[in-house]
Amino acid sequence: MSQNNSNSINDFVRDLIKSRGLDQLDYEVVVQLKADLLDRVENRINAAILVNMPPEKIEYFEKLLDQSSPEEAQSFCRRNIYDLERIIAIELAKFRSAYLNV
Amino acid sequence: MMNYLENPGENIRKPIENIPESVVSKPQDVADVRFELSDPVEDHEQGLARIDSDYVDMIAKFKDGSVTDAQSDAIERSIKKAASEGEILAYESAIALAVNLSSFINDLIASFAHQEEMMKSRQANDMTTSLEGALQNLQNSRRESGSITQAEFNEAFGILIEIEARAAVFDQQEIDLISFSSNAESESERSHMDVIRAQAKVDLRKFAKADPSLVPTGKNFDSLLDSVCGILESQFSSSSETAHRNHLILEKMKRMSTALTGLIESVLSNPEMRLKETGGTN
Repeated sequence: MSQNNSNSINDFVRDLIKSRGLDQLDYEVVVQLKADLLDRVENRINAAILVNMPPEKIEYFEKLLDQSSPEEAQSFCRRNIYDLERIIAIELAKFRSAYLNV
Repeated sequence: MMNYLENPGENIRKPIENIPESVVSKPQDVADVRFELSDPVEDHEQGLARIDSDYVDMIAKFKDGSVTDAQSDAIERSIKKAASEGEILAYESAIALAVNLSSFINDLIASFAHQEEMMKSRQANDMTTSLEGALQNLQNSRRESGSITQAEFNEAFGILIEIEARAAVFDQQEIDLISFSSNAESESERSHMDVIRAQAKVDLRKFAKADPSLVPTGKNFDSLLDSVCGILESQFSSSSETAHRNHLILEKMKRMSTALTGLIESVLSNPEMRLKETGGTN
């Protein structure tokens, strides 16, 4: 994972925590909250990817997860899920909206 | 170190038969799982991790009689992956770890008498209040006696992992395992639950670090949390074949998180997409 990638997702999560005013909690709790929220975001996006994957491609995708590199799995998702970036963007927006209750 | 190739079937059954009957209700079924050690190891560490995870999962399933031939085959494959030049280097210790861990979680899983009861939605506020109470007990004990007991640790840990597993499956598969007072209150209740969960992890991690005997041998707090939550998530996802299959794939996706991270980052680094869909992050 590149440093840029890590920072960007961290920014997204950090902003959510700050917007809820949770960044004022104990430092250790905030660090744990960020890690948990990052997991939650990833879980939600993973689920969205799976839901939008054509059913006939899922078995092969599972094999890729066992045997291939992250780049290959990512490339497979891009090739087989229509408008993937938009799906992820919408899921991020839904997550943000639900988390902030806006 | 034992060379299991001399007589694979017999030698490997010995540690399996050492699993206490209280943990596995059908030891004869365990002994019937046969292993052939022929495949070279691909990744020893990963192999051992799989033994841990798969064995604990299988033991839990043996307990309720729901292990399938396919799952037995999966265990067999895991053992093969862990074989290294004819020897399973830490097989016995892996089994011991799995048995130890299973004993630890046995009561937690057994507390759900039936699958229907386990799948009932639970109020977020109730679970949060329970966890806060358990954490308070831990702090009180430490203040009064300078230490905490295993039972006190287990109580808080048990509540935490149930919340963790319910929240994960709720998020991933939208299975209704957590309920809220009202739609309007859902996010504030969820937020409060998240804060207490985070606090619990911080506290329990410190207790486990101060007294490593609180967690099974070979585990630290975070690896214990991951292992047991994985088992509970699997149980929560077993209500349907599709949910269970999705859970297994999602676990694999989680392990390959860099692939996912790259996809999310490509969206977040696209100003037009980011501002339009996510409401802006910078």
